[in-house]
Amino acid sequence: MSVADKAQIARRPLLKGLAGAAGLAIAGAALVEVPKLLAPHHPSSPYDDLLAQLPDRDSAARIGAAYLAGHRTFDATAAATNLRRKLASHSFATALETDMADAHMAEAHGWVLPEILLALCALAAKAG
Amino acid sequence: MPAFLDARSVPAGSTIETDLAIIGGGPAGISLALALANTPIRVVLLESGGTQPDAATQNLYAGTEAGIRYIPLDATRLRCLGGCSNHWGGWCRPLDPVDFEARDWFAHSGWPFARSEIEPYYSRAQSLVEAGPFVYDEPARWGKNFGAPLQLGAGGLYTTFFQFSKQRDSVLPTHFGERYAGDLKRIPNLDLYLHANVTGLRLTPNANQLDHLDVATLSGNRFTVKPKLTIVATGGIETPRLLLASNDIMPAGVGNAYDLVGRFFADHPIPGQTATLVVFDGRIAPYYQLIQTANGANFRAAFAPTNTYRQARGVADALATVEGEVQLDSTGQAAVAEMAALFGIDASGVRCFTLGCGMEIAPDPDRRLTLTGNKDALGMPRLKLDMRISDDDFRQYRNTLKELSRQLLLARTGMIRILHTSRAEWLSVMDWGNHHMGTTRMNDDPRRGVVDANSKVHGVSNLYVAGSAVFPTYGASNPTLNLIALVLRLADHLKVRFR
Repeated sequence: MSVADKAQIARRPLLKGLAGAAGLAIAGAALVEVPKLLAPHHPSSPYDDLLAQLPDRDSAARIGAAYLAGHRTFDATAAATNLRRKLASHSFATALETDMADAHMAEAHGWVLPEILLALCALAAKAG
Repeated sequence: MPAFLDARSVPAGSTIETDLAIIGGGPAGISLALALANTPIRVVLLESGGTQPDAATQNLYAGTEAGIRYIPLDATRLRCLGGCSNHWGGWCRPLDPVDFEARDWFAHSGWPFARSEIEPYYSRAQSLVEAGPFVYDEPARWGKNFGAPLQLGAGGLYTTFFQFSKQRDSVLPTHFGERYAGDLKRIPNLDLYLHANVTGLRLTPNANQLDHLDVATLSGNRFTVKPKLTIVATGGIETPRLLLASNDIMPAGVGNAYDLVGRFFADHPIPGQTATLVVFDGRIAPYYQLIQTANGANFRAAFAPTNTYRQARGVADALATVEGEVQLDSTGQAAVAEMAALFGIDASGVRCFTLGCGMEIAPDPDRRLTLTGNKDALGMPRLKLDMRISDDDFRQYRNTLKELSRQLLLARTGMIRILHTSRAEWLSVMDWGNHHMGTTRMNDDPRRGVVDANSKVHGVSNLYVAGSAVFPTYGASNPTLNLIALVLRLADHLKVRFR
């Protein structure tokens, strides 16, 4: 076996290793990226920072649509400003509890829910 | 055992003298007669019908209606021995203490006494309606087998309990005429006349005393009863009719010096399917939906506003019952998904139910009964009912439902969808309880009430009204148990008067 042969043989495991690493990287990237691609796509909106609080944005948008049907003068910009002010000092969970404790409730298609949740849902419906 | 007497066989033109006349053989009249059984007081009870309903007698009730839809006046009552107990559902629940209070946010409210005044009579009333031991809002006494009430967060509503008049063969509650016929026949000092229609309360010329009663039968017989005291126990519709029609001495009618007789008519609105109740984990005790039996009593739960909440928020009474299971609408599905995720709970077993309701209605002087020019077969003027309900009555009930939803969410138990908003929507599902109240309301001031705190008609020394006609406000509880407690109190008052 010539020296060159030996060198060629020595490179094979290296190339195999590199190929394996590349494969893992691609598979890893796929694991991360594919769900993102499959997840519902929401266009970016001025309220994305707020809408990130919602566990299920599609459900929220459905509730929001029902809310907007009964609140045609809903001002999204003012609502967003108000929500940001509230959430600057409290977590969404705390704000939700506070609304329920203080009886700040509103209705969407008759469903009685905390005001802050319905405001977020309305923004979700507006954002699409 | 002696039989009941038949007014058709009384010699025409004769006069029957007695200590006490009771007009009407419904739950009030029968309870009063039973309460006076072991006294020396001689009682004549005059019942218009027989022991069973008949069309000709029932037609005496026919009248006309205006305003919002109400049950025809000859269908909302039964004119035979036992009266309306012959078609009642047997629901029993005491009035709440706040029901008796004067509330500045509830116009025309205020009984002349507190609930404590009739409290001692509830246990005997409970026996008469055969509703078992007096338990109601002590759920621990129903036993642990039925499960705990739904968890509610701190707030204005709580789980309350109805009890039910004895269910015979799982169908019928106590029919007073049938159930107590034997007891009535055994009372030595009682003469109970069937087919005896009182057509006039005849006052003495100075109008301060009742002199005699005109009695007529559909067969054409007429005679007179001359009692020392008279109790009108003909219900919340017929009582004002009799008082208003007895206008020979007092042109406005008996007890009507201040134009109050027939005003403030009330019933319990029972709008169907008012809301959807969601229970996140689907677990709900069986007594919410169906009558359960324990310790000799039949019971069922409802949601009620507390006395404190009613006072603080200025809302009328309302009792919400859980009815049939339903499916979630799409908004509801989204709301359940969102709330379950936010609360971090499993709502995979979610169940939904419709809520029914018995509402209290605010006293309204213009919801009233008046006489018309039409006459019945006995020559009595027929009635016209002007029926009304205010938007505020619906608004208050909506607020109560919103509070219930808030409490359910606070406890992570569930939530509520209110199904109706507009007046038209509410009226489209409206039914009524057949609970006729308020038309000879009780108040110590004759300018504000027809009868005083003892149920005596103002200005007439020997005339009383028994039954829910005297209720100045109504609560949401079914009236039978409460009116019987009031009647038993009246019986004690009468015993003292005859002493």
